[in-house]
Amino acid sequence: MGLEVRIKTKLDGFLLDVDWSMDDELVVLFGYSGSGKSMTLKTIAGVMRQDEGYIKFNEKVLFDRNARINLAPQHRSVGYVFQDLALFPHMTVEQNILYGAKGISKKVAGKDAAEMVELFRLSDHEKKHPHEISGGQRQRVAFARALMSRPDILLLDEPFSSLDNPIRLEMRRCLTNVLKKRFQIPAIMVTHDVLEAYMLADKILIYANGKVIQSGLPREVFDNPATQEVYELVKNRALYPEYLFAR
Amino acid sequence: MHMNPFLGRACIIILLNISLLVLPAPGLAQKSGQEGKEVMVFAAMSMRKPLSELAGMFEKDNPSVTIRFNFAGSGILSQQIISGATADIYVSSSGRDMALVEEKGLIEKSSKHVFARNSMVLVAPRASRVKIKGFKDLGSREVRRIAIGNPKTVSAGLYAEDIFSHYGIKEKIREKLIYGEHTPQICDYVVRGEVDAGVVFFSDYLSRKGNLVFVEKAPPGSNRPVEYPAALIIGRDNTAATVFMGFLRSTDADRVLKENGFMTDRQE
Amino acid sequence: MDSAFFPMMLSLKVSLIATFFVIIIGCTCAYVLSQKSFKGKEIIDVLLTMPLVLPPTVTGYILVVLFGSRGMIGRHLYDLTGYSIMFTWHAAVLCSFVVSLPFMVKTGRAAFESVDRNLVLASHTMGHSELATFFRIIVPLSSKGILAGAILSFARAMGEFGATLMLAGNIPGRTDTMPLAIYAHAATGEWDKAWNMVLLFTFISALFIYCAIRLTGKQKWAWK
Repeated sequence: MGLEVRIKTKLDGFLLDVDWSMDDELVVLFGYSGSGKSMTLKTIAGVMRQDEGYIKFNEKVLFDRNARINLAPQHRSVGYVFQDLALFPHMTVEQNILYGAKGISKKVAGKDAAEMVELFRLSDHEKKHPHEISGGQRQRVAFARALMSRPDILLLDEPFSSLDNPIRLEMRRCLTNVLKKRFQIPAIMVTHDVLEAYMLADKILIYANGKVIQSGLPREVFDNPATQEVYELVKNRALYPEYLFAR
Repeated sequence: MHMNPFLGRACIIILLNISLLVLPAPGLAQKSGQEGKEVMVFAAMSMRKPLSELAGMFEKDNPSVTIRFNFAGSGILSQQIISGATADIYVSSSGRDMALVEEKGLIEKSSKHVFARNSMVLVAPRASRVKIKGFKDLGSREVRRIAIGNPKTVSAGLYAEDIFSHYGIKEKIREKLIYGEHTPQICDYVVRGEVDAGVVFFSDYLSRKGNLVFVEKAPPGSNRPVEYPAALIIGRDNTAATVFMGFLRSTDADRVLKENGFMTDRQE
Repeated sequence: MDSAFFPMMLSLKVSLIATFFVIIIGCTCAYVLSQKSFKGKEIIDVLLTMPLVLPPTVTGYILVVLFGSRGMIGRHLYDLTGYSIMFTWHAAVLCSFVVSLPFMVKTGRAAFESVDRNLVLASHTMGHSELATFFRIIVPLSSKGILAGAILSFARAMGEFGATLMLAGNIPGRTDTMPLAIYAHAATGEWDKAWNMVLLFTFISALFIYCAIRLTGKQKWAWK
């Protein structure tokens, strides 16, 4: 079962046509800009319209064209981390995190928020505003906020793209820790950083022109690119020393 | 020694502009009155129809003359004249407003005369829910809105209040009064059914007869005389204006005035 | 100055009430225009902007046709309740509302559009309704723009003349707002009586414009 994604949408001359599924793992959507990766995320979240297909998570139907089901984003139980993080500038760290706790009683939410602050090492920063903390800290706030409501699915749209390299490494570790240890939920991440894709993915989906042209374990895809296009995308992995020592 | 070319050009431009100012500008030097070609008439709005017609007739017989009008409530007009507005003739719809101008010494006393009279009538909208049979009914509860001229600026309002006093209902109906800027507007309010009744000149009623219901004519003596004094404004030296004033007392003018519902002193 | 008191109070009353409705309806329209896309959106935008550009007498004419005692809407109201808006201070509120609404819609829309769309979407994905998102995210981040819009609307409402004259008439003690009263005094040569109101009006308007200008400077949430 898990998450089944079948999307067909036409937008301004671009056709997104994908059909894939996943379980409780971290899937990376990898490809050039404009290949439909972010569009996929937005469609799953329900903030972008979908022409045809269905999106199902276990027993829950988020969208089904034939059955005329289209849940509003409010009801899809997805945690979304935006590319620019989308932290509310007029709220403190604490308030931002609490804002993610819709539908949870105040008392429980307070406890959960405290846990999040602890988990993401944000203590002593709760009362600060987003512009007063560092890039890495903001990233962690975005994660904490997205996970507060215990979503069914976690969506990450190039979450580390605005960070410097050393922080990026730290964040990757943080993410995998949190996912493996605390929240075993399906997570979908969009990135165009080849090393990141390789390091983090349990499964990788190569996107090109609105279609998935190859999928599988990172090692499989990287060592055996199916087409010239895929090869072009993954060839730079050799430049990264980590690749040679990884896994 | 070379002159800075920019400076040279600037001098030429300045000289040109000065010469333009000094030269007489063509077409602007008409002093109206001196040549007597234009006559500016400030007239009460209720006179609009007959005066426009008379002006047309006069211009036909005197092609070199143009009659221009400023129509408004005569109270407004008197204030404009007192404030220095340029007028050759003032036609008022009440003695009161003419007196205001006369007090300031602004009219040629010898030229002043009453060349028309009128009477006040009560009118109502067609298909009105409220049934009114006369001025007396205005005090009843069913009558919610009555349109009259603003007594300060519109003579018709002055006369209307006279009538209300005569019937002893002035205080009773005070809350119901809606003021119009001039009698054609009052007629409009009545025709549109915005008010239950209106007090206008008989001449106004005639002009919109098809759309108004005639209720009652004000009984004689219920209001001060409704008269239209006309006078020349002092110091204008406009011969055409003097001739036009004379024309207003002619038999032709009489006919036009009577056709429009006014009365004149001329015996037939 | 006795004769100025009633018009001043009436103008304030009319403008405050009109602005109240302008804020509610204006913000709603601004929200829809800024967040949604639908067929005929630009037509709605044009309609809402018209009173800004039309001469007030044209606006007044249209309102009379609609709300006069025998008007398209007015006559039904009159038949049902015997109530007519003509020559009442309610008409002054209606006129002020119509001419100031475009200010609120335009300023409000610009303010709402300046809020990062991702913030709105983030709020939705976290389960918050559009209404909650509006009040907790959009409004706080566009508050300066909304306030500027409200101030401009109020100033415009205070200055409404042409349409008001046609619908409410100029009835002393009942519908003579400040602009109408000034006109009446000036027209009858009572310039001194109008002077106090002119002074007050100019001063208040200048003050409002100044506040609106200060508020529409860049809203700063410089965390990037």
